[in-house]
Formats: sequence, structure tokens, C-alpha cells
Amino acid sequence: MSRDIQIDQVSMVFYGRGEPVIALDKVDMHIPAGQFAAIIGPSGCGKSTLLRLVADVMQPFAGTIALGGETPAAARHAHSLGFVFQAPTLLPWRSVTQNIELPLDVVGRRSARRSARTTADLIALVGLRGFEHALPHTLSGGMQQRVAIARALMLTPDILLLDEPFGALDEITRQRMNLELLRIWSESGTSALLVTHSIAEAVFMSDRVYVMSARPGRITSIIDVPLERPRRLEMMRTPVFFDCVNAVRDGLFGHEMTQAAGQGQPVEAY
Amino acid sequence: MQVMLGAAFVLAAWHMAVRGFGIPKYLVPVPLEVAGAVQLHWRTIASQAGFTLSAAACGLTLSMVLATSLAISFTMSRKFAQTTLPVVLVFRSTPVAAVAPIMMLIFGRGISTSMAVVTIVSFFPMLVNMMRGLQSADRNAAELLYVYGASRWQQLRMVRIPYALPYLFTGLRVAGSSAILGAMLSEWITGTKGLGNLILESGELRETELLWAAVLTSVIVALTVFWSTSAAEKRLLRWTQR
Amino acid sequence: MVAASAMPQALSAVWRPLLTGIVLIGLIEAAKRGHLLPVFVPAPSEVVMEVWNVPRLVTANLGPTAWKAFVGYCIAAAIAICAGSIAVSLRVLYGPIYNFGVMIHSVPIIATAPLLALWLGTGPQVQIAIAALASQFPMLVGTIQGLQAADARQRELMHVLAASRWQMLRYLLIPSALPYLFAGLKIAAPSAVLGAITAEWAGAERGVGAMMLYALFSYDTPKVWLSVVLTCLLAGGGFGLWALVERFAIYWQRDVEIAD
Repeated sequence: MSRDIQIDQVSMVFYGRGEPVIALDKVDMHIPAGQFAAIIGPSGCGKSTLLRLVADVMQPFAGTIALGGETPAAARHAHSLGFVFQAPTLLPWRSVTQNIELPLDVVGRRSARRSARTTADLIALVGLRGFEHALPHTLSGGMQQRVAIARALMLTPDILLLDEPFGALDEITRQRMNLELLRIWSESGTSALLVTHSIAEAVFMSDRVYVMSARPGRITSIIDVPLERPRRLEMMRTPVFFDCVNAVRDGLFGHEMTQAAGQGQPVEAY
Repeated sequence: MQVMLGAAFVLAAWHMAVRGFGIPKYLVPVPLEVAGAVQLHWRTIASQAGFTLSAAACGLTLSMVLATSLAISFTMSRKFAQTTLPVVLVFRSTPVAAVAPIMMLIFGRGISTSMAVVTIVSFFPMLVNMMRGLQSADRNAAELLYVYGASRWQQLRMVRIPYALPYLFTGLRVAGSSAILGAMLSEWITGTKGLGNLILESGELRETELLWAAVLTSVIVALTVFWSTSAAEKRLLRWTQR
Repeated sequence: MVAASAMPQALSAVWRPLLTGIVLIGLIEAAKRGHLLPVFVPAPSEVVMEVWNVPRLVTANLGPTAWKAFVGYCIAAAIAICAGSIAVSLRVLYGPIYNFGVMIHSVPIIATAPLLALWLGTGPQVQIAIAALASQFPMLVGTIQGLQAADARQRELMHVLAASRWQMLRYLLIPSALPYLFAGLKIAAPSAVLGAITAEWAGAERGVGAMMLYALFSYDTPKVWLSVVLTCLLAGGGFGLWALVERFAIYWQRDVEIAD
């Protein structure tokens, strides 16, 4: 089950000392159900803020967000959202199994309306069989993050939100985790919204990349990634991949870069 | 300014509370009565306070000298630090209740017991702060001297000690109030002259106003020590940290 | 499986200092026999004989002091934990409650004991009160720091999971508070003991502090040392007991330090 994400003219303002900060300025995003979308942009462009608006952690200053036709608050109370943070954010006194089952405890095991996957399924899905009773401090960063992903999937959410989940990992682990996440996502069928700093990751993982600019946060370009699924690492050498990466880079840094490099016509981004 | 207002408010509230609740004089006197007692007995209070303060001052000075020399030796010789530091750690938080009776066995009744207690109680905080101070010297400044071929003694004198000075006052601040209290508690056991004894005696004799006066004096003395060492520490810290 | 391995670990941390202590006692005993030590250091055997001859000495004094310290400690714990919880949940009361705790912490036993003796009369109430006043601060700080220990991401997590306030408390706030709470309770234990003993110096019939004064008055060196030993045992015992409980209860992280 998945929901579509409709973000219409959303603006977000933060009031602190001095001038109010416009974090997002009339942002529009329409992500169809079941799609994997990535948001990329420099620090301060509001991408994490946008994710939190979808998750109902904050409310927008202006504009509307509809998740499968409902407000984020309704979706949150219906336990349709899964969130994976930058840091694994596991509860250190709970074992792997207990951490994954935290959503069940909150919802109330008996009153879970949707069919929750069994914990064993999830642990197998994220490749942590054998670690059911381990405490978080005994696990590596990548393993902890996998527990966080399993936890986010526990109540079979309609939307999976990921805030730079692999930012703290090294390149090798990161690539492996990307493949893992894609495998897990394809088996679960949710919509996914990934915030990332890495151009390669954004293109490799998603069906569509939203490029944002900072101060104020706006969408500068939208790039569709026509690569077929399931994605394989070899695809990163194809011209299609290369073009998409360039398009994203253009969106981030402007056209000067491609022209200076002496490339042909700038890639069309729409 | 705020402190003055606060103090005035507290005094006014005190007066009203006592009168309002009809608390008898022998339990809680009114500020005016306490002030009266201070005026009446100020010589006694002052002299007793003098005893306590001198015991605390001597003890603090002694512990400062000991702590500084030990800290400097630790800085000069790592081996010495490795062997001796664990021994010192054993005496990390020696409570007054355990130290005072033993000091009294050694030094008998008299001001030397109070001094010894103060020295022991304040030794460890001073040592810790002096060590931290000597190590706090800006890395670059010390390395600069090293590159110029300065000897370890010169490094010590020209860089480490000036940088360590504010930490001396940190140590005095931390140890100061417990020094005063340690001195007063020693007086309780030994019966020597001082503010602590004044408090005990006036309590036994049920001279309530004097008791309050003595107690207030001791609190004010402790606070003054705290504030002055705090201020010195802040000023010196600001100077070293540019 | 985590708790099972904590037991031998706890033992191994203890045996080395214990052995050193036993060796040290043996050395002192030997030195005393050889008339090598000054008068104010008694032979350990003399101290032991004191207890052996009059065991009631220990029980009649250790018991009351331990009892007074314990009662004061429990009263302080109840009040500090409640006050700390209120301070964290009602922001407006945070300042007053914390400052009140600081104030009580700063007023020395010198000042409170005689005044309390004046108000409450002679008897254990004074020492119980002092024990409470002396031990409240670490527990207050531990409670406050503990309840604020859950970081922003963990709170966001519970929010996204649509957890109720009660669930947030039960699943996140209380478990993350435990390490700090235990640290505070641990530190407060010796303070209660020392407070009770010091308060006994201001006048008490029975107790380790009273025993100490009497022994000093009669220049009974072994008895003085015995009272000092009992003081350290009582203070250290309270701390050690909590440390042991902590090791089993807080199985997921190392000790925390609470700010002062």
C-alpha cells in the first residue's frame, strides 16, 4: 500500500533572533504513489524541513500537504508514516527486536489495524538474522541504520521518509546500503522520499530527483531518471546515468559548469 | 543592584513572616533583633570569625603550596606522576567527618587541628585544578618556546605558570567554602575558639539572636570567599583567553 | 546474557583494592608490634578487639546512625524526584525549584544543625532532617538531567509514531532518565551518612558521631579509629550498594556523570 504526496505552494518561515528565515518558498511537489523520489540540495535549502513537514513534525507556514488525500497529521495518527533519521536513533536499552517492535508497542499490539509484518520477517529482510537480541551499542553504524529501517517498516507504512540515512557511513558501506534499501523498498511497495547530499545516490535510488536551492528554499529543477528497475551497480557506468547526474549537477551549480567543461548542448531538464 | 533588592525583599519577608505567623522569639528572631545582637556582640563575633578565617587561610595556603609543588613535579616528570597519582586518588573525597577526629588525635585540641583538616580537605581540589592549569597552556605557546630551545624550566616559568594562574583561583573557589566549613566543623569537635564554636555554644545557651547572628556571619563569610575567588578567577581567565 | 557477565566483572573490580587493603592492614599491624608507629595510629588488632569485647558498641551506634541516614535519604529522594519531575514538566517552576535546591545545598550543616536543634529539640529528628538536606541536591539534579536526557531525534521518533504523552514517558523519557537518576542516588548516599554523623556532633545520644566525640573526649585512640572506620564503611557501603544495583539495572551504557 502506498500513498501519493502532494505538496502545494508550501512555505516555511522560522523566527529566531534577528530576521525571520524563509526556509521554504512556495514549494510544489507531486509524487505519485509507489514512486521513489529524492531531494538534493546544499545545506540550508530546507530539504530536511520539507521532510519534517510531510511527517507532521512541523506545520507549514503557508500552503497544503496531502498524503493520499489526507493531512499529514491524519496520516501520522493512522501510523502510515515511516521515518528513518540521519542518526539511527535506536533506544539504547532495547534489543534489536525490541527496537523494531517499538511501533507495535505504541500502537498496541492487539489493536494494530493493518497486518504488521512479523519481526522475524523484517530482521531477515534487513539482513540481521542472528542479532535479534543484540543491544545497539554492540552494532556498527550500518547495522544500526538497518534496524532503524526495519523499525520504520514495521507497520507497513504507506510513505517511507528518509533523512540522509547513510550520511554517516563510509562510501563502501553506503553503496551496499543503497542496494539493500532498494531491495527492501521494492518488496514493500511504499512511496519513498529520500533526502540526500550525494548526487550519485539521488540518481541511483530514485525515479525522480528534485533539486533545491538554498535561502530561500526552492525547487530549481526536476530530473526524471529513466533507468529500469531493479537497479544494478553497473548502471552507474551508462550514459543515461551520466546524463542524469550532469542534469542534477546543473540544477545544483548552474549551467556555467557544463559549458566550461566544453560539453555539447546542456541536457534538457524538465 | 539586583542582589540588594533581593536581600531587602528577603529581609522584609522574613520580618513579616515571623510577625504574621506569631513565631516566638526563641525560635526565629526578627531581622532587627538579629541586627541588635550583631551590634551588641560584634567584638565577639569578629574575633571568633578571625580565628576561623586564620585557620582556614593557613590551611589553604599550606594546601596550595603542597598542591602546586606536586602539580609542578607531575608536569616535570611523567614517571613520578604515574606512580604517585594513583596514591593521591585514594584521598579523593576524604570527608571531614573522617579526617577531623584523626587530626585531633595527632594535633590535639587547638587551632592546628583545624588547619590540618582544612589542608587535607582542600588539597585534592587544589591539586586537580593546578594540574589542569599547568596543562592548559596554549599548545602553540608551549611549542613555540620549545622550538626556540627553551628548557623545561623556562617553559614552565614563562608559559605554563601564567596560564595556570586562573586555575589557582578556580581551586581556591572550589576549596574555599569547604575550607571555612571544615575549620568550623573541626571547632565543633575540638572545642577551639572560632565561629563554629560560637554557633554551638550560643545554641546550647539558647541565645537565639546571637546564634542567628553567628550563623548568618558564617554564611556571609563563606559567600564572600566564594565571590571573591570567583571574581578573581573570571578576571584572570578572561585575560588568558584573550 | 548481559547481566550474567556483569557479576564476574564486578568481582574483578573489587579484589585488587581489597587485597591492597588487607596487605596494608597487615603491614600496619607488624609496624605497630615493632614500635615503629606513633601513638595516634593504633594496631588494627586493637581496633578489632574493641569490637570483639563489646560488640554492642558497634550495633548500638551503627544502627541508629544508619537508620537516621536512611530515613533522611528516603525523604530527600521522594521530595527531590517529585520536585525534579515538576521542574521539568512545568517550565515556569524550573528556575525556582532548581535555585531552591542550590540554596539548600549551599547552606552548610554548621548553620542548619543548631537551628534545627533549636526547633525540633533533641532526638533523631534533627539528624534525619540534616541527612535529608545534605543528600537532596544530587538527586534533584539527577532527576532533572535525566528527564531531559532524551535527545531531539528520539522525541521526533516518538512523535512520528504518534505516541501519547504517557507512552512518551514510559518508553522514552523514563528509561533514558535512569542512568542519571541512579548516578544522583548513588552520589547522595554518602552525603546522607556524613550529614547524619556530622549532625550528631552537634549533640546526640547515640550514633557513630556521638561515639566519635566520646572517644575523642576520653582519648581512646582505638575507639576513635573504629568510629572513623565505621564512618567510611557506612558512607562507602551506601555508594557501593547503589553502584552494584546500577551495574545490573543500567545494562546498556557506561556510567554517566551528572553536572553540578
